[in-house]
Amino acid sequence: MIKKCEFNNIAFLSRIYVNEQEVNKYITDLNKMVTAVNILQEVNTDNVIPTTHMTSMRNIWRQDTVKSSTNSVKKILFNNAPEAENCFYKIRKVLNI
Amino acid sequence: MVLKMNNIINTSIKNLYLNMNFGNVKSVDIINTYITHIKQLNLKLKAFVYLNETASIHLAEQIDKKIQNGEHIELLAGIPIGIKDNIMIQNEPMTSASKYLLNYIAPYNATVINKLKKINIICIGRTNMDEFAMGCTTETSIYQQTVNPWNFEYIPGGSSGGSAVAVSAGMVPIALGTDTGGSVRQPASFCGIVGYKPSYGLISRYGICALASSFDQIGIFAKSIQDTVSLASHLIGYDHRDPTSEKINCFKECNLSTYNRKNFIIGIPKQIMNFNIDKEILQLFNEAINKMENIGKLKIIEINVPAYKYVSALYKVIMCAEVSSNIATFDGIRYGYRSHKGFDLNDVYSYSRAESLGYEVKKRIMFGTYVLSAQNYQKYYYQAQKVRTILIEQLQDAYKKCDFIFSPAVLQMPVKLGEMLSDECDIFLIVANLAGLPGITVPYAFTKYLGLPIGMHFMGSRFSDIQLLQMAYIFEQLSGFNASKYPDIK
Amino acid sequence: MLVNILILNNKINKVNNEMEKYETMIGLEVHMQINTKSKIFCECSTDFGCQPNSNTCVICTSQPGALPLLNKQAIEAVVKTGLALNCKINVASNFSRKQYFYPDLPKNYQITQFSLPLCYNGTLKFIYKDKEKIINIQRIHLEEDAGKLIHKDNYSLLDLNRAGIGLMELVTSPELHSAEESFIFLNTLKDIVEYLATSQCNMEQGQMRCDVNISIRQVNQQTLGTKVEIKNLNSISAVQDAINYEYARQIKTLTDGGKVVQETRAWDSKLNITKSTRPKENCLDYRYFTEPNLIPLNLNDTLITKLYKEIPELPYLRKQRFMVSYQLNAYDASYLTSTKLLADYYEKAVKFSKNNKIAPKLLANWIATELISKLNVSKLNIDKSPVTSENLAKLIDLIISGKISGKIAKQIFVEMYKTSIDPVTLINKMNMKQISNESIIIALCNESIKENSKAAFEFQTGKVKAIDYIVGTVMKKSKGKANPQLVVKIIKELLKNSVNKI
Repeated sequence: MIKKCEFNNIAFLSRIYVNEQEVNKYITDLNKMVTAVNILQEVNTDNVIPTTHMTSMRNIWRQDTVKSSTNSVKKILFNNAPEAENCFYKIRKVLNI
Repeated sequence: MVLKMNNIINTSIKNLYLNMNFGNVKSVDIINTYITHIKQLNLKLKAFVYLNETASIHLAEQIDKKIQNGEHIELLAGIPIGIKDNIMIQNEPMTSASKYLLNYIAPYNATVINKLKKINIICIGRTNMDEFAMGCTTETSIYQQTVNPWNFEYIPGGSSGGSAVAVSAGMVPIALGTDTGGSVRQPASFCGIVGYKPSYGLISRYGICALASSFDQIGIFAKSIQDTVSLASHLIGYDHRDPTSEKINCFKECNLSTYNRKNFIIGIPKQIMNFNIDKEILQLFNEAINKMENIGKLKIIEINVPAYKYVSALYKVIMCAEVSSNIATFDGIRYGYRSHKGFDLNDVYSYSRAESLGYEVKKRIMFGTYVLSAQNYQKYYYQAQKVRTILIEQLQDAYKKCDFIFSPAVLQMPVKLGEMLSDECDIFLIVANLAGLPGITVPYAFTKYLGLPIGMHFMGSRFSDIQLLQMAYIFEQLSGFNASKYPDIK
Repeated sequence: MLVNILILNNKINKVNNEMEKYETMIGLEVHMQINTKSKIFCECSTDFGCQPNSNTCVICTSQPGALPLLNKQAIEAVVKTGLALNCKINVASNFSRKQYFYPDLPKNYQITQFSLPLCYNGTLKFIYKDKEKIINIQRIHLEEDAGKLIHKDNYSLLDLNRAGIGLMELVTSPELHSAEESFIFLNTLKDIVEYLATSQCNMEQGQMRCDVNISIRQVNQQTLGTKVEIKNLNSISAVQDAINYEYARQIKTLTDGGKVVQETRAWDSKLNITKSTRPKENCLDYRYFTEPNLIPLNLNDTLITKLYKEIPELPYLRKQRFMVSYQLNAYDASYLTSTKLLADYYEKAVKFSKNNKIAPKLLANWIATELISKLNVSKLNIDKSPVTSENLAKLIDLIISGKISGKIAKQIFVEMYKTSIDPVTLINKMNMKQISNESIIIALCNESIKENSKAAFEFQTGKVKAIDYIVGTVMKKSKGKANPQLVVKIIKELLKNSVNKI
């Protein structure tokens, strides 16, 4: 079962701020999910290969060629930036002490 | 003969195209008819979040000019289509119904959009959905509450609820959705239309805002199997921009009328009786089985897929794990919502995400983070991937004995807005996503209890899409469901 | 902190005795940018020094719905590097997501390889203190590079041009024992990778970066000491400095009765010290899982054989061969094989030369001194040298055959470098042909003996070296064109005759 301390770590790893009033609701709902998926533990999976992809294809790759995105694409990318300076994305300092 | 508004809306897309080509109706008239219809119905149904009026009419005019000049126009040119709001159309907003992307403009076209544009199908507007397609009621949208067109007090299903409602109510003849765990087929069933999810890898995922990458697949909404096939044949095909795109060309020649060549065997997993299926749905399901048996060519057998028991659990684990990773990119740095609260960069992340993502999304992210964390990885995520293998193997065994797996589409009828669907409602649909299989819901009947439509689900083996559509076509005919009936919306 | 270093440096001497009791175990994680035209998962250019964010697209800025498109060249480069380092190859390999939030990582996960790296269990050989040393390479895997952050006073700026460039990460076993050894290891690795052309390893452009694991233990101790990781090392010399610093710091900690803490430290290249990074690291949980968007690999034998065949003779072997075949000393051989281009140039020149006894040594000297210094001044690579290997070989042949003197050769060489013209044409053009006409030389020698009668006398009375003065005068008079061998011969004969006369 997820407890408060573990929940705080999950929220931090997920980079989601959770205010105190919401914490218990999250913990309750997450624990419901944990309970629901615990059924998987009863399956004997010795020697079973995990499925990561549906396809039997292999070696899907491209040749090493350069194709720049068009200026109109770059313009949209840039206009979507919350803040920018010159050609950079502008962001808050990593650590602000 | 000139087509009137009702005729336009009641005509199959292929016939609309033919009428246009013969000069019976203009593309502009078709588009105007639909725009009027959408505007009128959307007040109640709230299926569309964005209408592309000017551009659509402009494109229709160009098509009319081409026809006038005797130029060849592609099959389905001029047909309007509704696009779920998580598919990228260059220079248009793409929000995935999330506050995070409210001001986002898509910098490129999804491959499906390029394919639609190439043949001049008109993307008339964007349809509502659950936020980032996480939900099964279309209630987690940042926008509005889309309602079931057959009874406004009920949910339309989801996550592609807007597209399902739009087609069901005749606002557009066809629409696109995405199906990660039944998100096309479940609302199609709730709204009384066809919902088709192809085998994983047949339609490119490039430009689809990802939910769970190993399950996501574009799906099609239409009134009939014929319309579904007409559209699907344009969308299916290899795309080098999607590494999981299959090179198998299984869809070039799909002729529905050749179905009687084969006597299909239909399997019914005995495990479905372990689930709590609504009584009336179960009764209709049994009735449908009888109807199929009665026509003689179809054989019904019982099959054994014990891993059905774990479907819900393993879907939750794998889907949330992939969600937690895919949604990480929404961080307030390069695009999307940015909060100004807090002090350092971690605060930018944590507040931006907290303020712009909905509860369901955040819950799934955190659950995914939990099952992937070092101490839980083996127990949950790795175990789920292995159970997924067991399920796939059992299904492969089953398909040695039968051509399709048949089940009700959903366990229960739609609930009222604000009420909860059962956790396992879409369980039969999710199987197809877990195993990359094609699945299709075909409307079967209106229930007596609520008067709401209900569909049945066929699921084929991997890449058996053509046979599956042929089977659905047979079923469509024997179901007796009146597809030309539209909800009465005042 | 500066004060600390001074104290530390002063104490090192005192600690020196202590040092012999300890041994250092060093493991390296080397990141090398893969030499490709386009990024690893998109078609953006990998060019360095472009306008910020000009080499970005919907994939490397992680727009919704974008999917990675794997660059085959990147796979080949890593496999080739692995084969050259005797690695085993995981023909069935795949990609994973390593998840952590950082603005230079647009997806907030890095696509990398986890359980199935392309290459594993390799070795790298080098010579250290005249002994051959073999270091085990645990793995080499493929991953994507991150963007760059520029930190201002109150905010940061993000440039994603580098984000998504292919990287190979090579991890060694902790088998290196000193900064010097690590230095040689890295240089040897750099030479090999440059030979393979799988990475350019350009330090200024940050194409080779290194993390160092370092622990110390008492000489007879069985278990490993506490491991400290140093990140952020952008050059081979920084690796060396950081190891030296950290080594001294850890020994001091132990001799002072303290304990080395397992932690990650960052190298501060301005202060030349390592600094403890924030302990928030213990929250790190990368939550690796298999990348669902990238299909697994299954490399076939044909591809691997093809890559194996493409591996050129590597610097270590080439050096050995140069020493044997061309009678070069170890210093010259290792200098000439330090880059493939240089070695190719040299070897081509040797083949052009008609003399295979003296020419190899002479060519080595000429390349190492005259040519390289000129190339350095004009900032040219050897493959762009105005003096072709063929022309240099011709010049050397002219010297060996006595047609020109070394001094003249240098003058001609300057012209060759300026004009790219072959030496024979230049000699004619510059009237630099050697004088081998005996009557002219006899006249010059007679004049010179007269002018240096003291030297002549000394020579005749047994001081052999004294002849040099006379030869020098002859050469001066002939403007260096007299055939020096002939001059010596004639002076000796003339002086002998005059002795007889006495």
